[in-house]
Amino acid sequence: MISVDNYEEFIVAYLDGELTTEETKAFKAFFVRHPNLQKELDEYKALILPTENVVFNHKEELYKKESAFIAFRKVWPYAAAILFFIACFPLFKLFNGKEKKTIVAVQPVKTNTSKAVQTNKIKPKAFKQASNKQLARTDVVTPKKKVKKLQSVAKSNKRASIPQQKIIKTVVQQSAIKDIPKDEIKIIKKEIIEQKLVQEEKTKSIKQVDDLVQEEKIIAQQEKRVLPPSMKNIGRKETTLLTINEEKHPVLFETINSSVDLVEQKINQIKELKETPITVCVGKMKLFTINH
Amino acid sequence: MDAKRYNEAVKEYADALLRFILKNLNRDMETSRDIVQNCFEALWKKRADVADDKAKAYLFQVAHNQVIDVYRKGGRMLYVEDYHENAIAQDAQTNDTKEILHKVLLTLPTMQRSMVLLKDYEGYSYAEISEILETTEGQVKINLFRARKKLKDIIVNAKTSRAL
Repeated sequence: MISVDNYEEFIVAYLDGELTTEETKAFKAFFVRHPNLQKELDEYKALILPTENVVFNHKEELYKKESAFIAFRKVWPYAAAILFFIACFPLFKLFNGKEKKTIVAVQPVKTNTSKAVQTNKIKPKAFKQASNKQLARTDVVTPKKKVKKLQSVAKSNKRASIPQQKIIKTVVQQSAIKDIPKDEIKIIKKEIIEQKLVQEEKTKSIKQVDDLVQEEKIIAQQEKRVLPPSMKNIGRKETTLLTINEEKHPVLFETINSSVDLVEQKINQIKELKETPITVCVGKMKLFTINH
Repeated sequence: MDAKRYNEAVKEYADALLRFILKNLNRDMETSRDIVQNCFEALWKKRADVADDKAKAYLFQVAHNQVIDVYRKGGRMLYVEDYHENAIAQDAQTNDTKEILHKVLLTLPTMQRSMVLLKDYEGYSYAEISEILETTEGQVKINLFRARKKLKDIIVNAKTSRAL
């Protein structure tokens, strides 16, 4: 409430624009009632500082620029995230690369049928890979029953269009040979040689019989005679193969069997092989040829 | 506050800050410019903590503290006791109201002087002045009244003396 005791405070507040609307009404009404105090109001008005322009020249001296460090502080979270992903990329690639490698390892090995075909058997631990030199010394041949099986498989398939000079090579793992004692190998060699000699004799005698039958056929033809039925079958070539006793040479027997399995697998995998003569070799030594 | 906004504050408030310091300290232009530079350096250092719309208030707060520091170090040019009635009477004869006001202003305590300058030159309200000078609104009202009353009494007395 404005009065003669506090009117000066109201004057200052009024001149500073700090009175409310109601206070301003009351203030003006007071000075209407006390016109002699108007002079003091004017004196206080004269004390308000007049506007004075001052210029700070060369303000550019005060300007600032963001330092590289500050700018970095703003972007470092993003930069850190990018660096993190870049650092993890080789690990990611390595991880995927490892997986890819395992996948590749599982895939079957492709074979090129235009060249000599080779098969690699994944052998159990008991068998080791044999060198061509070692295999050449042994002159190993397959057991009878396996060969018959091969012949039946070859007969059931059609002839292929690939050239006849296709050789299937089966690499017997060396472990198979290494496990066989040296004495046993000597015995086997001896048996093979003996069997070979017997085979040669048989072949010789068969050839002789064949020759005789052929001569007889020609004569019969000339004389217009018919050969007895018993003679017709003699001309057929018998390929009696050498045998390995399973009980005497179990390791070698298993090795040969597995080799035959590989040949069978190869024949079944590649259609063209079912229709072409297949020569089975051990190293450079040709064993036999399967004709369809 | 980034560098861009800071530089804008320089453009907007450097002149007003210089005027405030010049009238507060009555020092030469070069010294006043140095103090203004100190104020802006302080703002630059604290720019991360100062909002864009509070930059002006912060600058004047720093300027007020800088003035107090100057007086504490004994850099006062005029003391109340030094400015006696003869000097006022002499100045009154020149009718240079501006000069008289400025000199009488220098006789006020630092707090009152800053309040008058912030009110008359910058147009701050009592509330804003209380925030800048870190006091209450009531204190601002009382101090401004005392400052203006003193100014009035000195000037009126001097004019009365001249008339006599």
